[in-house]
Amino acid sequence: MQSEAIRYTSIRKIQLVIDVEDYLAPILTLKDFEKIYKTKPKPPRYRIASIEVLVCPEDGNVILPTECSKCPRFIRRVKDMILCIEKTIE
Amino acid sequence: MEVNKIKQYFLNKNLIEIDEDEIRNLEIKPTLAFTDGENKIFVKIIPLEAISNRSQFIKFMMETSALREQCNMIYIVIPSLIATIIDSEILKEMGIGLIISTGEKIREVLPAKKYKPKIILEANLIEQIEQISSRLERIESYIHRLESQINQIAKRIGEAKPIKPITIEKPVEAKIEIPGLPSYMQNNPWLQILKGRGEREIAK
Repeated sequence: MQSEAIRYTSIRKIQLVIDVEDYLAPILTLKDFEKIYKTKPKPPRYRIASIEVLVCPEDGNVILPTECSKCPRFIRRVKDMILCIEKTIE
Repeated sequence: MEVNKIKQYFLNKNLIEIDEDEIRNLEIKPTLAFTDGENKIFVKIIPLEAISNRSQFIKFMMETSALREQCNMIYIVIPSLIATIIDSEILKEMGIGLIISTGEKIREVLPAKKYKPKIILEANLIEQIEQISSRLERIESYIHRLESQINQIAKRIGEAKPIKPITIEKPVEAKIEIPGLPSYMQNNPWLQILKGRGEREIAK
């Protein structure tokens, strides 16, 4: 069935500011944008996108939580944590 | 999502499927319903449209929440993709079990909590119960009054002096024994009556 060890991987929520007029402008986090420009990003030039990412404990890659659905080790999500098991489910 | 696979999963747990007739009265129906003889276990499978449509998803969760009160245990079955978005802690708090379907496999990742289902009564039935309970209250107060009266009477009896029982002594019947009388005259009560009558006539 399942191994006893369950891994808790925290999900990081990032709010990104995207400059839709200048594609070469670096994508900043909302906090960094406000710190640099001393203002809030205003549409239509700036758009805010929220993304969730986590580091897969299996291979160390940054992934989206939805990608966990393809993993046989995935158990469930608890708040901002992904629960998965160390051993593959038989 | 394959309903048959999910059905088989529950049947493998030695559960028996409940007939549709038994859950006909429910306003919101579960996708599958099982019983272990004592408990009702409902299963709600997320419809495909609820995955992409937020309002459909909210509707699904609200229906699940409403169904929880109609059964002992309830499970929701969702694809693993949705499971990465849903916070299962909320389901745990609500006592809703979570089953993840990966297409090929079905996994119970969160067991459902056992509840006592609420019994839904019709309005007229509630009215009748209210009438009966008010009658019961009246009867109870009447019994209470009677009890206090009985106690008062018992107290009075306890305080009263004992009365000597009246004994009625039976008059000794005089037997007429005259030797030589025929057997039908011996101990004949009529002789006593006739004797008394004769004595009264002489006295006159």
